[in-house]
Amino acid sequence: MRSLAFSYGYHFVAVRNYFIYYIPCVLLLLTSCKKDKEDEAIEKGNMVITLQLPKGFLYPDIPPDNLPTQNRIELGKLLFFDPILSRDSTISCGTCHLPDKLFADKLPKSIGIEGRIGERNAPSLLNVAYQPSLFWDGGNPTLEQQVLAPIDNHNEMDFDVNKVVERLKKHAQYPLLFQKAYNQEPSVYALTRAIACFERTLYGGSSAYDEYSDKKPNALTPSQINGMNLFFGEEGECFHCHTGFTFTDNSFRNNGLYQVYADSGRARITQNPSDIGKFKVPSLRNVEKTSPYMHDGSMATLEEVIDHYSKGGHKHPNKSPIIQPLNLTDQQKDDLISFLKALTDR
Amino acid sequence: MLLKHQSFLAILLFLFITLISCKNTEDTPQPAHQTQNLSLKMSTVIGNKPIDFTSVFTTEAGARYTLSSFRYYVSDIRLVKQDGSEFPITGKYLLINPATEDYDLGQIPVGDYKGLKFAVGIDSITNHADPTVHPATNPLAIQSPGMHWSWNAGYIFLMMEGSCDTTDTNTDVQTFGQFSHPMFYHIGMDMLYREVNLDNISFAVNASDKKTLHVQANLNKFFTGIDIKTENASHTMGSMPLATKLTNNIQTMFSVIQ
Repeated sequence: MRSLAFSYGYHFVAVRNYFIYYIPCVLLLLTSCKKDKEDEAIEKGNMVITLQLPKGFLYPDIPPDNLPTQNRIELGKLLFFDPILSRDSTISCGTCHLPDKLFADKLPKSIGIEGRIGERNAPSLLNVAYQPSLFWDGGNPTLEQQVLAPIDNHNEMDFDVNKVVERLKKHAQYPLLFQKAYNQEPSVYALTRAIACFERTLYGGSSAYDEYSDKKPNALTPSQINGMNLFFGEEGECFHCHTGFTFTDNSFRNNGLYQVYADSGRARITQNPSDIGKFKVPSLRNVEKTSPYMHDGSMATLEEVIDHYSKGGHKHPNKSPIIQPLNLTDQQKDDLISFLKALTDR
Repeated sequence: MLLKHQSFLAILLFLFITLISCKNTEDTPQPAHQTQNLSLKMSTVIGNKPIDFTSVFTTEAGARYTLSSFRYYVSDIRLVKQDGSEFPITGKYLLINPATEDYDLGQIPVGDYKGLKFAVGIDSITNHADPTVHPATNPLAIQSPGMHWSWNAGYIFLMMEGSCDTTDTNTDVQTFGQFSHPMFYHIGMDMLYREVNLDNISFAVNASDKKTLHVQANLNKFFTGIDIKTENASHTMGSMPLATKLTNNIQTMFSVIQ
């Protein structure tokens, strides 16, 4: 009897609650549903925001399925700095792209899990939103897909992105954050989008040169102005490749660094012998603070780099015809380096 | 818990009513031709032995090897009718794995057929599209272990991994079932996309019975002209000549078992 009474009570509660929850559903059909405070917060965090760019920078192309929202950017930032992405949970994106080192790492080649040394120099991520392809050889076409590469690279995180997703699903905080940002549980799709979304918030464009360009002629020293004239003139010819507000045309060029290349560069992607030794032209913004230089970090100082271009580099059948001996004087070299230092963000 | 169930039911009811109200009332047109379900049975043999991941196998050139993984993509499947016209099975990408032999191809028109064509690989557009957009159950999603190169964005069309005996005397000793030297072939890139054309066959698809077409891959053909004692590693990139030889062999290793 007791159990029967209980079951009646149960039934009563069930019927009553059924109607309580049915009414708002009908209201939802007729009008709009009134949201509670938490929903409103999620809504605000999911509003598409306008990225804050340095003056004179074009608005970057952004995939329509990954428009920036506060929730996405915050999730991406958490993931970017979380070593959960690596097999032994020691390496995050931020290990080699450090905010206080202009999102680079100052090492010739980056160090992954178990002290493994990578193949190439880690570039700064500032202004990465403008890169039409990623990596020194351009082997990956989008910031989103790029996220996969360091995760499964043997010398970087040496892990499996599907296993990263399993970890994220079991995590105390991430499932809710993924739900808020991408309306789904942790997935390869949302993981790659979130990190890319964060990376599209990283810009550098507040240098002395930018002030000078913004009609403040005193922002540059006379030596920097001389260097600038060399840089943009036919004498230095730097601007042919290091052009535009990102100071790169993103082309792949052989700059005569070696006669024989240990790393074939762009040819690794195309399998075309005429691409051997070609690497993507890097940005020169913040170049003063992102040593060492070249794809393999083989040059420690700007002086070495300028000397290389002044001499014209090694002979190579694929060398860009623009790379010719410049025979710069010491004064010209000093001026050029002064100008390059005027590209450092304040 | 109770409250959640009730609200869930209420929402379901609400959605159901909404859906019913939107139901398309037009009659579904009857198919013009009769169709039948076709499935593809993909088996793998080495000579006359079925593939396994514990045995020692020997190439026709006499070199010993073991296998730990063998998977490949099949796409652009077309059935050639007796009149020479083709029935394409569009949008189907199969990731062939010896652990699974049967792959559903869906409905195809009833009739007599004289050929089967398919590609080993992924068409260039899909090959360079974003793999992260596919749900985990789709063969084109990122696999574990991987079938996609992130450093040169594109799929690995065929992956074979194992070990091989590189001694001249065939006397290498196995450790935990593996020879001392690893053997791996990761074949991909658009230029190595190949069509397989299995003609001179004949099969009928009847309205009454579900049809299974049995295609067999013989790995002895995969190694034709390959000396695995020296040619035992290819990531495609950086070893195009070997990858190309293997790819051309892939085209010859299939036959229809009738």
